[in-house]
Amino acid sequence: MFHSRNQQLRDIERWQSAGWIEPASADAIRADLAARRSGLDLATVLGTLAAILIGFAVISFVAANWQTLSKLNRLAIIAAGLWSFLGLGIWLRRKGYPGIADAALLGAVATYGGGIMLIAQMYHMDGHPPDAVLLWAAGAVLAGMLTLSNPVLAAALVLFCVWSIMETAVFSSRPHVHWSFLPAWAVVASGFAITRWKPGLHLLAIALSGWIVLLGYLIDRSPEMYRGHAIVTLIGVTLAGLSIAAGPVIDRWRQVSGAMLMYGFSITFAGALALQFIADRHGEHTLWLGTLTLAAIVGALGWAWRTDNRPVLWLAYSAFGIEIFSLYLKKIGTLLGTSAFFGVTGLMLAALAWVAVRLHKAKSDTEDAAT
Amino acid sequence: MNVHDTMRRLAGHPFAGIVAAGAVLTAILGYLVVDRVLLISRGREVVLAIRPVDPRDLFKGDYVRLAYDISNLPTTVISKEVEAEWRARLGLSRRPIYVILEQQQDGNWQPVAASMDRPDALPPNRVAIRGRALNSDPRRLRYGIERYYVPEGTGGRLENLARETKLSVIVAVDTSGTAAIKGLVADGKRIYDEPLL
Repeated sequence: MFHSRNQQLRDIERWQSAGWIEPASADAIRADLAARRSGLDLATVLGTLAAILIGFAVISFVAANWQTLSKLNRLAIIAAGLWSFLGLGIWLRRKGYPGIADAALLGAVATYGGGIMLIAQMYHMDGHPPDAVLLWAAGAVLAGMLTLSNPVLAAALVLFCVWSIMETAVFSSRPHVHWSFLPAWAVVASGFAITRWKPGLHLLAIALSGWIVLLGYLIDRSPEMYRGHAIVTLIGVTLAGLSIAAGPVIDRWRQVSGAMLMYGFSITFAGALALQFIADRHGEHTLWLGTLTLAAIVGALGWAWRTDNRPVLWLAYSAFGIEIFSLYLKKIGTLLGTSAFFGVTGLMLAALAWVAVRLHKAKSDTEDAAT
Repeated sequence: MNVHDTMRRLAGHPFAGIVAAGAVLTAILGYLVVDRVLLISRGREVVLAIRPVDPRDLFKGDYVRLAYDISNLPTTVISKEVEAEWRARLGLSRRPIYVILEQQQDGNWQPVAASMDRPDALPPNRVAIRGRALNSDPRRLRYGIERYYVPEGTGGRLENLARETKLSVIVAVDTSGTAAIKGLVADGKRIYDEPLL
């Protein structure tokens, strides 16, 4: 899954020359790889970028040129732009270019957003700015569901996130938990549940994880926000724990336990970082919180290694680096105390490594004895 | 056959899904326009005095920011009781405040009272306009009529006009208290009417 195409081709070459696969099988595998690559070709990428650029062109045109045309003409331009993109989408789908057709649909949704701004401008509307973004997002998600277009659904999710951030932080007299994001998220999720587009599911998970991590800063009204960050950490631990404890059961339903561990781990670490370095400003609990966090990271590393979960492996490596560096900056008591902490944890890890080597050796010894 | 299959078949059709999406998006935009046209053509006309200044907006081209006399209200309009009630309901931070305007002898409208609930059965010389507090001060209100869009680079003209004459805005207000800009008045003379379409 994480091998590049060239790596896969080299592997096939190697297996063929080693005589493990027949030349006919090698050709069949190469043909299959080539066929599966058509998902994201250059034309689609360029088409999507073009749609975004043209969408912005429409919006700028509207912003610049607004009194030389009558209101009716301006509305006609937006409607014509919208339906041209849709017509292009229909034509491209019928011609068998679903990727570029999606780009055209994205252009239609961008033009619709331009239309909302145009109408607001024409009638001098100066309401609550997040409402305009919400209306844009709602139109995008409806269009995405009706056309089952993944890029349009992804755009809708991004717009809902922008809306939520505006409501929470920018246009609010005081920060508060934005619960309305959850039903909006669920609507996009039901769209991606139909299309079963993997990048879409990851986008959903990233958006929800971000919302959960922010919860730590918003749900708790006390200045330190221990409780808020503890709730976030607990949600992360629950997700990761479920993935570890019930992985096979979950995977029988949908292949998601690996991703669950990845997002669970990320949420846990974000919560743990906030607990240690934001809530615990004076370093009263650094020793045990730091030890617990490092233990959890090492545990995740070990589990990811065993289950060959590379994303979690890399996340855990990065988390380890971030945690160590943050602890170093924060200091555990004094610099000498920090040195002692790192020394002791380092020795403990070395001991663990030694145990792992012994276990591995014992295992291969018994296997050798068996053969 | 379940909903998912229906939707997949709909979207599998090259026309149906896309045409339906287009119809929905066009209908939303159409609703926005019709709603405004009805508000401006049918709403009560109210003349409000202003003092303009000119910033820039990233998306919507140039506009003049309008500060109304009713943007900052005295305690005689927003009473201590209304303020206390507003603070008690602050959890719902976007809760509106209804300001009651009364027509004066010179034709301009002045704020006379305010309430947290929409007042009904007002006398003919009074209108309720819906505002929302800008920050945590219930006396600094926004009514959704604070931006006047002008062609790029011509905002200064309106500013000069405001300096040289007594500029007022004609606002249409519907029964729910929603307001929309309808035209401009300089020295008591109607100088501009916003076309409906």
